[in-house]
Amino acid sequence: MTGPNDGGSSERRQVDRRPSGDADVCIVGGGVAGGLVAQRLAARDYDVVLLEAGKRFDREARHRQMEDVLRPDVDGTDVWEMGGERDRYTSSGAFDYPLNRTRVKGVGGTTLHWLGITPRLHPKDFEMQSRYGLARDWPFGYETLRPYYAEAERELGVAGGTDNPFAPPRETDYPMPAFPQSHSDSVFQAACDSLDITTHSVPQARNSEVYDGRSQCLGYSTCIPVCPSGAKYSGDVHVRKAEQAGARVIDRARVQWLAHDEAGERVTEAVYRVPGGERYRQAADQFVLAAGAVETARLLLLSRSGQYPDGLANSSGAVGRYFTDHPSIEATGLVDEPPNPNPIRFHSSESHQFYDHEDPVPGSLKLEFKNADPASLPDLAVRGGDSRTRDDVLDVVAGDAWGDELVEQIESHVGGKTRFTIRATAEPLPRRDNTVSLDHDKTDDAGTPVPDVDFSFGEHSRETLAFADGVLRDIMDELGATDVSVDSLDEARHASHHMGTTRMGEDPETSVVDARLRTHDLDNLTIASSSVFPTVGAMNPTLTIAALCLKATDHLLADL
Amino acid sequence: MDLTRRQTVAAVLAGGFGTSAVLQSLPADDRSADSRDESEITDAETRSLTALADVVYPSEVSDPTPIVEGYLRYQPPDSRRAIRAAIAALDGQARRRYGGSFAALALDERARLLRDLGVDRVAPDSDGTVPERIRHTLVNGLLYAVFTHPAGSSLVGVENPRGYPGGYDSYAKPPNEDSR
Repeated sequence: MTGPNDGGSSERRQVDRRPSGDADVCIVGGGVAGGLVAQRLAARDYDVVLLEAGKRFDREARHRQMEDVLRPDVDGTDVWEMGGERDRYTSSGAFDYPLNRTRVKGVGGTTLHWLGITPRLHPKDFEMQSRYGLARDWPFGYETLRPYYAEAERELGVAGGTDNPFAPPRETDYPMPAFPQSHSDSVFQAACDSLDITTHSVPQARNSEVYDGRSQCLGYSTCIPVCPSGAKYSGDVHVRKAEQAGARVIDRARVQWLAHDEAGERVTEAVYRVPGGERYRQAADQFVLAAGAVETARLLLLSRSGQYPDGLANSSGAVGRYFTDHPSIEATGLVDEPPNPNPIRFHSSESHQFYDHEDPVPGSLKLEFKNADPASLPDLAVRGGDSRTRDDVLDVVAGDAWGDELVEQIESHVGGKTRFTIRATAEPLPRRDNTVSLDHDKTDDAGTPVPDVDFSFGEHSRETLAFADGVLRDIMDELGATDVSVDSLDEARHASHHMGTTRMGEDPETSVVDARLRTHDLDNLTIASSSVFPTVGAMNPTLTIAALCLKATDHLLADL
Repeated sequence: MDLTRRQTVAAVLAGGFGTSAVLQSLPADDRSADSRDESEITDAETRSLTALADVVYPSEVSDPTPIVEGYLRYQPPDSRRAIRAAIAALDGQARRRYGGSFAALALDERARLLRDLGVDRVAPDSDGTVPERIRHTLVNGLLYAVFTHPAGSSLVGVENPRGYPGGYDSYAKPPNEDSR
């Protein structure tokens, strides 16, 4: 049996990846969702096996990962080793979706590289059909999820303030005080005050003080993609706790399909492949899919059988449909203010003033005020103080600067105006034709068809972003910004929030899971993921994922 | 603001001074004979790195040793092996041209050796020629180390640079009056 994660790389150790003999629960996916469910169940003495496709990353390597990210002469885009043959995919939609830049496979999952922003959804987000005649209502409202939100904030460790007048009702303070405002926040605030726009602090799963045995934020300023201090929450925190409570975690175990019983009512085994190509079958009483909106849908579609030719839990035909991500646009402009004296890479100010709305459109909008950081010194230093180009002709003639000349060169960049940036994130509506399907013409290194992401933004997103464009320009005007640039609606970015693909609902004809997050079709299959969101609001999804996982765990405990 | 040397060169080039400069790079096979598998960096190798830091660090950084040692402390074994190999290559060049190890050379000899090798002009490459590897693995590693440390960053007005665990309070401080 694998021991508790000691932070060492599983590549260097001999690991027994054979299945456990008597598992109560088998969880697929070792991110925040799988980790939370595993920890809760193991703490109640259930035999839990967690299968994670990626590896255990060595915590001792985080500083070197940070160096790879900060140095311009090192390819730091793959510090989490995404993008190889294992991770092949297709993007066939109008929007070229860069899937592997938006997810991590490994113990800890995508939270290894997330920013860590953790707002709650608002009550309106659960009632889009009732309030606006749009999309579908969730099968329960905010009040049902409210206690789970509070619990999730305690579990992840959320720092936040009570200065947000637009936040949904809450019963207690956040577990930790909010991060303070920066200088650039105060500049934004002054401009917004003039426009009667209220700014406020940002709840985030980052320790503003020592919490849960983890460090407070040490200000490395590399939150995305790596936090060397461990102050930023990531799913490996709960995976470790699960192991300490007795759960068994098998890394580099890629589940290829789920097998079911003759009646087609229960999942019986998860069939997984390990390094070297051996294939094993893990049996359990209950199964939990926690592999994110892309791989969860892919796994269900791969689990075809004579009884379920369209894939498992897919009698509705909704598996893989309604794939959603948050659209956003950014405005930047040069402002006659110095940057913050020291960098910090997360933002500490937002406005949710345009979130709740009376009319169907424009939909919910969230504003993020980016911290105006000074230029990255390691980046400048390694380039010889030249931030404009790499390997330019001057390098050949004059040579790159070092020593005192480098300081002189860097100082030549200081002064003048500072670039200020605001991001507006909009509420999209789930679209049936945004899909994760199987590309049978392309396989990964195990010969398994890869996921095909077909994604584009719809009219609701565009109308909401068009409204956002006006708000962003007003703020830039008030800032006195010059050289203002606002993304066009055709250049809308995505927030790397994978949602939808196994939507939740009361009707088995139109949804995949019920309010317990249990599939309509199979009695013992739970999906703990943002893939169940029927609608997605404009808020970052991870706290809602965590709250839903805690709710799903209560339902599992009732059945075990 | 005075032009830096580099800006002066840029201005000259913009004025029509063409360049046909071709760098002479040493071949990649001039690698260190060090094929040992140990990843432990020796005291002598640390001294070589510190001697290199004396050349590439701003002169106001009076004691590079703790920065160099701090940098080496978190390097994983494969990085340490690459650093050792690059140091061996640098020492090999020092012996060939000056008859002594890099650390034994005078400061101006060390600086001249690096310029002669073209280390300041080549593109960094961890798998490239000797100058390219010295630039990538040693010089850029050392520059990364000092400018992610207040000893280097404070010279350009930043107390807590990216990559340094100086706490999060620093970002909330107001700008210095002289930066306005």
